[in-house]
Amino acid sequence: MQFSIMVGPMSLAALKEMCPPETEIRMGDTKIIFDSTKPDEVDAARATFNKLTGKGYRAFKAEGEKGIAGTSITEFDPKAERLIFVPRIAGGC
Amino acid sequence: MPASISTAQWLSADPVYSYVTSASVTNGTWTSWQQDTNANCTANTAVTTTLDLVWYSWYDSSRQAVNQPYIRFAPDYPVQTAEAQAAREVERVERIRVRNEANARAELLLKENLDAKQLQELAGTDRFTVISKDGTRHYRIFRGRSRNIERIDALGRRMHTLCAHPVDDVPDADTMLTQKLMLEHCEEDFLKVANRS
Repeated sequence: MQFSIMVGPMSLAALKEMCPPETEIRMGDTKIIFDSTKPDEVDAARATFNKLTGKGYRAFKAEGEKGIAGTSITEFDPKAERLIFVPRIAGGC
Repeated sequence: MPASISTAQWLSADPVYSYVTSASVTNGTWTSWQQDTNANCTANTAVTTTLDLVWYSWYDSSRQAVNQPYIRFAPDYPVQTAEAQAAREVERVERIRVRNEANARAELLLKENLDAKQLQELAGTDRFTVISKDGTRHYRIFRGRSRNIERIDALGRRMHTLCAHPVDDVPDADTMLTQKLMLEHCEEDFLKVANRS
């Protein structure tokens, strides 16, 4: 299972507390790989999912081949292969 | 180095301060500075007789003019050294490197999540078209962060512009992917917060 988290300068510090400690948080796109066959990693993925969505990130499950539309999810899905987390949005100018 | 001038010198040294020598001055700013009639001020034909604590501080208790030190403070910005400039340049280059790497990762993530037609549009015109989930509304997302979405009609003509983006300052490609995903899967939520023009 792969998490892709969009990271900007404002969320760098906060994400270090929300992601597993060994994660290298990088601006642009931080990827975290969880082994979905290991229960402890699935638990870590669920915890990370809940922390991120609790802080306003929205999760999109990418299904099938890359580029094919997925769905927005609010509950952790242990069978998801790829999840993209996008920050909260706000109206602009 | 502090310099010292007499009150009389101070009063006459500057054209603005010389207003104090005129009894007919009605300038609002300077009348408030002329409210003490001691010997020195009288000699300079001050116009009022009211004791003023601020002005009083320039005279001693016997109402004689005294010299007050005039201190010209040095500007408080740090001295520019070659080492400091070099360190700032290193920081600047590092910031650019980090930002460029972030842009590259974001660009890759965006391209991973576009279909073939959208990729072709992006390569050719730096924009791509998104269709709502029910297939009835079309949007065009341009490269950028704000005011970069157009709702278009069936002929591709602009109907209006939309503006909504991540609160964090993520790279433009991340912003475009966020907008795409929101319009495809959470269109109603997106339109609730987007400003329209």
